[in-house]
Formats: sequence, C-alpha cells, structure tokens
Amino acid sequence: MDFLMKQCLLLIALLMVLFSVVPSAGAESRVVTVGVYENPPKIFTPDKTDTGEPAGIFIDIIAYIAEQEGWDLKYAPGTWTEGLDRLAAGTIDLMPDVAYTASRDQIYAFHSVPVLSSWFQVYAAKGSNIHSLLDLNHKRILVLDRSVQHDAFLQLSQGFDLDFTLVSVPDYHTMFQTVAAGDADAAITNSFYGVMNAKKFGLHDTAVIFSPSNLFFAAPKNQSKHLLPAIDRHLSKLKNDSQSLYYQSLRHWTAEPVRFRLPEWVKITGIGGILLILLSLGSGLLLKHQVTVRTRELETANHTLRASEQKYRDLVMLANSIILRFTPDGRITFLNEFGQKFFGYDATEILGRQVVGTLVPESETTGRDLRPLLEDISRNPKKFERNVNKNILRNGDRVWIDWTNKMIADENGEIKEILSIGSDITPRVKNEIKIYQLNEALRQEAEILEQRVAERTAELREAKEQAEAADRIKSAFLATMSHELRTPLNSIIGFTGVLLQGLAGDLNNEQQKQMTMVQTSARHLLALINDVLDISKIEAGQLKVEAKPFGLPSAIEKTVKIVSPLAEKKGLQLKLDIADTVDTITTDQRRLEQIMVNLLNNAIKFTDKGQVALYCRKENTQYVITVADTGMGLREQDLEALFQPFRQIDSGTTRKHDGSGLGLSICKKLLDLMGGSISVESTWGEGSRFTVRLPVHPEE
Amino acid sequence: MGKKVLVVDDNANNLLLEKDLLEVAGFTVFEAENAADGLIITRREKPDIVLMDVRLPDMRGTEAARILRRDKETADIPIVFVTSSVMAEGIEEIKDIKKSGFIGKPINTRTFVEEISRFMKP
Repeated sequence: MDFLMKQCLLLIALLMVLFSVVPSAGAESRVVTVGVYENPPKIFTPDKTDTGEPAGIFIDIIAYIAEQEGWDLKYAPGTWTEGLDRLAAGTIDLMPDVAYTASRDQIYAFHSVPVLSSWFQVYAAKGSNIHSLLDLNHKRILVLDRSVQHDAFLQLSQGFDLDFTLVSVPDYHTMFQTVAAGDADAAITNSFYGVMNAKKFGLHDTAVIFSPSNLFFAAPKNQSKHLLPAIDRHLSKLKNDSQSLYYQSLRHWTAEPVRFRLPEWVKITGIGGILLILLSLGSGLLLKHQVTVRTRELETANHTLRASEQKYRDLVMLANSIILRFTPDGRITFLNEFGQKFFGYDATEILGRQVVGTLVPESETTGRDLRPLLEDISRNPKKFERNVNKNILRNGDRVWIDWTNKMIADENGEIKEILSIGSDITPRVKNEIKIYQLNEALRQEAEILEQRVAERTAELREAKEQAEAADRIKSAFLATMSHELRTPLNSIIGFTGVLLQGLAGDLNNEQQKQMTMVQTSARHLLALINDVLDISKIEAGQLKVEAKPFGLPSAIEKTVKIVSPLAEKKGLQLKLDIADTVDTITTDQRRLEQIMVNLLNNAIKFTDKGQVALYCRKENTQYVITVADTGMGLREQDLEALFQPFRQIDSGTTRKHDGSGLGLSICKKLLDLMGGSISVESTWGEGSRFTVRLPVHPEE
Repeated sequence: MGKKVLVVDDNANNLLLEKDLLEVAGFTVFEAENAADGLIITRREKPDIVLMDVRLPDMRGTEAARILRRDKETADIPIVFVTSSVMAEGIEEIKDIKKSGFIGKPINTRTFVEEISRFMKP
C-alpha cells in the first residue's frame, strides 16, 4: 500500500510538473491526429466513459508525450484497416499498436524504440505439468480460429516431432473457459490477454513463448520529421525509469481489475502490490527469462536429434554398408566388419594392400579401365561423390557397388584419406541388365518382324505389279487376236456373202452349195473365235458383268424368237411357259440372253424329234429358268465334265454336231460372275433338263 | 449421181468388199488406205458419210475423226467406224465422237448398206 501511494504521489507530482511546462511549449502547438481502434488494453474506447475519449496503454503514452511536446491531440476512431488506410493516405498523423514488419516499413515510417513487445504464449491449468514445449506431447491445445498463432505454433513445433491435437475456437474467452473446465490441456493467446485474464480462470503461463513482435506508433512516410524522433526520445526516458508513467500505465492496464472491498483491503492491496512489483520488473525481464528457457529447450532438442541421428547412422553403416578408407595412393587403411565379410578378407589380410587389384578389378568386363579410378577420385572429389563401379570379391565374383566417397583432409587442406561407403547393388544391376537384354532382344525381334513385314509388302507389291502387268499384256493380246482374226474373216464372210447374194453374177447350184459351206465354216470359225475370246476374258478376270433391271419375260421371248427358225427347220415344237410372278430382274441382260440362246441352241441341236421347252418361274428371291428337251440325253459319266471347256459329248464315233464345246463352260462361268448357278439332270436316251438359277436382285 | 461415201481402210480386201457393196447400192465411193489421205479427200469431196477403220497405219481412225470434227466444214459429216476392234476398249474409244456410229467386222453383207444409210441425213 505504501508503494501504491508512493506511485500515486509521484504521478501527481509528475503531472504537476508537466502542466507547468505546457504553456511554454504551447508556442509551437500543433495538431496531431491519432487513429483509434479497439484492442484493449492497448487501445480502446471504454464503454463506461460517456466522453467517448479513448483509453489504453498507447493513449496514455501518446497523451503524455503530447503534453510534453505541446501537441494538440485529436482522435480518429475507426477499424484497424481504416486506420492503416488513413495513415497511408496521410489523413492521420499517427497510428498506434503497429507491429513492425519489413513490408510495412515500405509504406509507413516507424520510430525506433518499441512501445510494447507482444508475443504469443501457451497457458495451462494450474497444477498441470505443462511447462515447456515438450510437455505438450499428446495434449489437446486450443488456438484462435484462423489466427496467425495457429500457423506460428505449427511452425514452432515442427522440429520437435510432437503429437498433439490443435483445436480452433472462436475467441480467447471461450478458450480460457474450456481449459479451466478441463476440456482442453492448454491455450494459445497473445501475451496481453494472457496476463490480464489467466488468473481469473485459474490458468498459469508456460515457458512456451513464440513469435515476438515489437509494437510502435506508425506515421505516414516522409511526414514524421518531428513526431517520431520526439516519441523515441520520450520512450527512452520513460522506459529507463521504472517509476515512469510508462510502467504505471502498463501496470494499470494489465493488472487484473480488482473489486475493492473494505474487509479485504489489506489482503487485496498486498496481492496488488506483489503483482505490481512483478509487473514492474517489466515485460523485458519476463521475456528474457522465457527466451532463456526456450533456448535451453532448443539446445536439448538439437542435442537429442544429433545423438539419435548419429546412432541411426552408425546402425546403418554397421548393418549393411561397406565402409572403406584408403589413402590417396590407394592403400587400404580400414574396412569394416561387414566389408570384410562381404569381400571375404580378414582385416590382417587386406589392410595395407592396394584397392585396385584387390577390391577393385583392374578393368570391368565392359573393358572400362579402373586403374586410374582412384587418381580420378582424389583429383576430382566432387565428381566422384557418388560412383558406381564393378568390384571383385576374394572368390573372384564380380559385384556392382554404389559408393559414396568423402575426402578427409588435414588442417592444411591436403587429402589424407578417402572414406568410401558402399552398398551392394548387384541384384539391381543384374536385373537392369536382364531387363535391358530382354528389351534389346524384343527390339531386335520387332526389327526383324518389321523388316519381314516390309519385305513381304514389297514382294506383294511386286507380285501385284507383275499381275497387273500380266493382265495388261493379256488384254492387249486378246484385243489384238480378236482384231487380227476378224480382219481376214471379214473378207472371207463378206465376199462369200457377195457371191451368194448374186451381186457378182448368178451361181449354179453346185457353186451355191459350195459357197454356202464356205460361209458356214467361216461363221463357225467366227463363233469359235468369239467363244475363245469370251472364255479367255473370263479367266483373265477381264470380263465384267453389269447389273441393270429389265423385264425378264420380254428378254426370254426375244431369245426364243432368235432360235425359233432353227427349231422350225428341224420340225421341233418350241414351247414357252413363263409364270405370272416373273417380272423384273437385275442382272446383265446381254449375258443372260447369251446363256439362254446357248441352252436353247444346244437343246435344238441335240434333239431330233419331240419338243424343246423353256419354263420360267419365281422361287423366293430367285428366278428359275429351265430348258428341257426330248433329245438324246446324257450319260451319267458325262455329266460331271459337262461344264468343262472343250467337252462336247460325242454321240458316237463321228462328230455329228457343230460347236466349239465352249458354250456350257462359258454359261457356267458367266453365271458364277452373275451370282447364279446352272445344273443339269438327264436320262440317257430320254432328254435333258438344264436349270439356271439367278437372284431377282443381286445382293448389295 | 448417188451419195458420196469415203471408205478409209488399210486392208485392201476389206476396202474392196465395202466398195463393192456400196457401189452396187448406188453410192459414189472414194477410197483411202490411210488417215492422211482420208482427211484430204474428206476436205476436198465433202462426202455424205465416212466409213473409217480404227487401226490405220499413220494414226487411229478416232484421231482422224476428231481432226475432222474440229474443222467447221467437216464437223457435221457422219462417221461410221467399221472395225475389227469389237471389244469393250474399242467401243469405249469412239463414244465421245459426235455423229458417229459403229459396225463390227465381219460385216453382214446383207444388212451393211442399210446400216450405213441409217447414219446418213435423209
């Protein structure tokens, strides 16, 4: 209590001094506009005061400085961002509670003595054993939702391999309540809130402090020639005096608000006093202590880490790595136990011997010379930090080892030894080689196949070209033959005709008979030529059949008309029977007529008495044309060969009938091309039936 | 005087055969054994019809026909190809020549003149 009274007295005295100074400073009085926002206890507008005057640590300090400097303070209330915008625009002179950052320094001017230092701190329930960061392992920790603390804490804890649960809560009040109720283990707050409220919730501060920042008044850039130096000057003075207004304000705003009750007056004053003493030590002391604790923590953590890493490394090395040391001239100075077992040497056998010739063969099977390898390694250590080469076991087996090489230099920088740590990668390399060989084999196989395909393609192309050339030659031959044979026939038949017509004078009976024989023979020769050309064309694939619709009945009638004089001459009855369903057909009209004429001619030719009949009817999608005669008929053994070329069936020892013997084979070949068929039934001595089947419309 | 016919054929026998048949029917027949002579006679005589073989020693009859078609004075003279080239290729060759006809050899002596007359202007 004494202390408090002393403080008050001091403050009063100070104020009195200040007031007495003001008039003299009033001469250079200037208006200083200060931004105000809500962030108690640093700066805020208390509800209780009706004046609307702002309050808080920053206000106390700037009010004090303004008094000293004779400034006329004006306040511009708003939000934090409004304040910063106004500052940038130069409409206010100072913005309080601005943490210094490099990016802000680009926009605003800062003074150099910090007003306050702020940090984040972890609070835990009293009686919990949480004191340092490591104690937070497996704990449930509360943090302000979407706050910078959240990220900062994660960053802080990152290196410590801690397992904790971080829970976001909307505000500090809830946070402290939750921890106080035992539903969470710790809470992260800013230092000011913690100091003000921890006690109320029965929480205590821990040594976990992070993200410290310094808070200043900021001024617009280039407008702070007098303001900022004045603030610095006063702050230095204020902070040097533990009794100054600065510390009074801190105490005032950070102390727990206490309700004074007369009976507890002494006790509370006592507590207040102790609190004030503690606080008067200042945030600096607290921070210093906490930084020390944290540094110790970090050191311990680092040490542990280094120790465990070393242990890990040792384990790995001893377990399955070859550790080899040798001098720059290749003399082996060390080979670990694993290495000795691996290569098959005792330490006594191998130490002191040359690397090349023992562990390293003089050359790889690929032919790579390994003798200069060591020299290369010591000359260009960087390039050989990793090196894969073939090594040789005592039993002569060759192995692939992946080496990590490190030069060990003495204090003069001279390379003393080379440390090589190697692992056996032979299985991997063997697999790779196998895969490579398989790939190579596949590739070669594919190449051979491709080449074969190319060869076959070329062969086929050549064959096709040859076939096409042959076709062209055949066509030309047929055309030429046709032409060359017709030219003399034209004269023979023509002049025979002239004579027979009596154009060159009358012929006697014998002459007439003989000239007719010439003409008949010449016509037979012409028919033969036509048939041979036809069949040659078909066999050369030169004959193309058309597919056009036409009326089948009229085509049949036309062919019957052609052959009727012949039938009449032989005294044969020519019968025609076309069903009503027979209508249009789509095929090659000329070729169909040729076939029908041929069949009718044959029938007439081989029939001496009776009749020749043509029937036509429709069967589903086919027309069936039948030519039946009452002639000599065919023997069963002759039926098979009937449609082969040049197979005229002889009736006896002499050839009685004209004809090339090609007609039926041409019919069959033409019908094949037209998508139809021909068949024959016959009884020897009774007659024959030839049946032609053709689709009504060919399939598309 | 009968109508004028030019017969162009390199085979003397066939030329004579056609000439005989046509003269019997009352035509005035001009003869040429090659295309060049045929062209000269056509320009000079302006026949009512030209009977043209296709295979001629100096050029193809179809070629000679095209030359005649380009000349205004001979463009309208009907040309009948009397040829042994009766296969599809031969017929194809004359398809695009206007006012032309086709008679395959050997000719039918009974119907030859009648066939020729059908190609001529009435």
